[in-house]
Amino acid sequence: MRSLILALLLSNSLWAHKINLFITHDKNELQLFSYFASGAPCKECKVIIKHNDETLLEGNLDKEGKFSYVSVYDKLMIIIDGSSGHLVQKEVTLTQIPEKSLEKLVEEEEEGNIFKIFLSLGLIGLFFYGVKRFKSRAK
Amino acid sequence: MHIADGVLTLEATLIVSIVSAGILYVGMKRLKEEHIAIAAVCSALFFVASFIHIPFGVTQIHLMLLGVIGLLVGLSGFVSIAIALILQALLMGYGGIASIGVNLFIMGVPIVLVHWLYKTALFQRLNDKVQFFLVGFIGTFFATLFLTVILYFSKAEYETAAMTILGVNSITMIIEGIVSMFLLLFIKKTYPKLLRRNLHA
Repeated sequence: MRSLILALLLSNSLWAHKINLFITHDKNELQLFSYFASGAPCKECKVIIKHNDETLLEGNLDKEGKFSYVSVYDKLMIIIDGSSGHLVQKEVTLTQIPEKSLEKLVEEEEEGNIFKIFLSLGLIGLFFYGVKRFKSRAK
Repeated sequence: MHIADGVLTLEATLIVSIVSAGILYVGMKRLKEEHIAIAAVCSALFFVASFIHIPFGVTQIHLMLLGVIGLLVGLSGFVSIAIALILQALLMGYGGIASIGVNLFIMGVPIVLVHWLYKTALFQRLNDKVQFFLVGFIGTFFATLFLTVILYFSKAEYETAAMTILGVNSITMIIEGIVSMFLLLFIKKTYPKLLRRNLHA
């Protein structure tokens, strides 16, 4: 049964798409939230926090794809490994991270996605319009 | 159903991508001027349908409507899928950029197969509801089958995972079948010319 669940998890991660990583900073506490482009949280994905190539922490995100960390350093490298080649890393300076809630950051990302969907639909229309023009000229 | 970069070996990615490029070329050449509008609609349909995620156990499934696209545009649907996949990879992070050719094969070839199967005498003897359900079901079945085979022969570590994919996606096939059935029944009722034209294409 366990091997079946592991196989299912692996098969999901094969096409699980891009990993998003959100980072906020609240009262010296670094808050991370990671999820796949499909909207599924990066459940218990590996998290590595480094400072100047020195590994400060190796752990796992929780079941909601979240993680909190209190840092004594200002500059950090954060790596989230979702396995099967899905990896995201971000270099951050804590004092420069805007103090926004995770909810606000996710909301902004979703708004960006809606814009991208409409942009894509426009580009699809534009491409086929170009094909139509090309085909009618070739006649 | 979109494979990310780094999952397949370079050899598997190259071979499948070359085959896809060949079919895409033929699809582009055969795309008739009067079918361009419907091909664009199919591309948008596939693009948007991919965002409808249904949680299922530890995984998620999403609609593709490959059977519907196959029925409406046939081989030219390859072009519709190609454009949608490129935009999904570049803008939305769905699937890898280097894996576009593989994803195109997995989701494009079922379109062609559904188109051919629909025109067979055996298929035409079935009643509309069964026909349209099978169109959706078979489209997803072939996509899952290709994904399973490509993964199975790509890396030894994916053998077990590949075998489970067919089981996980069986529910997707049924959902696709039901959605396709209602969608095509609606099209047949409101714009039957669209389906008749395809049958004689």
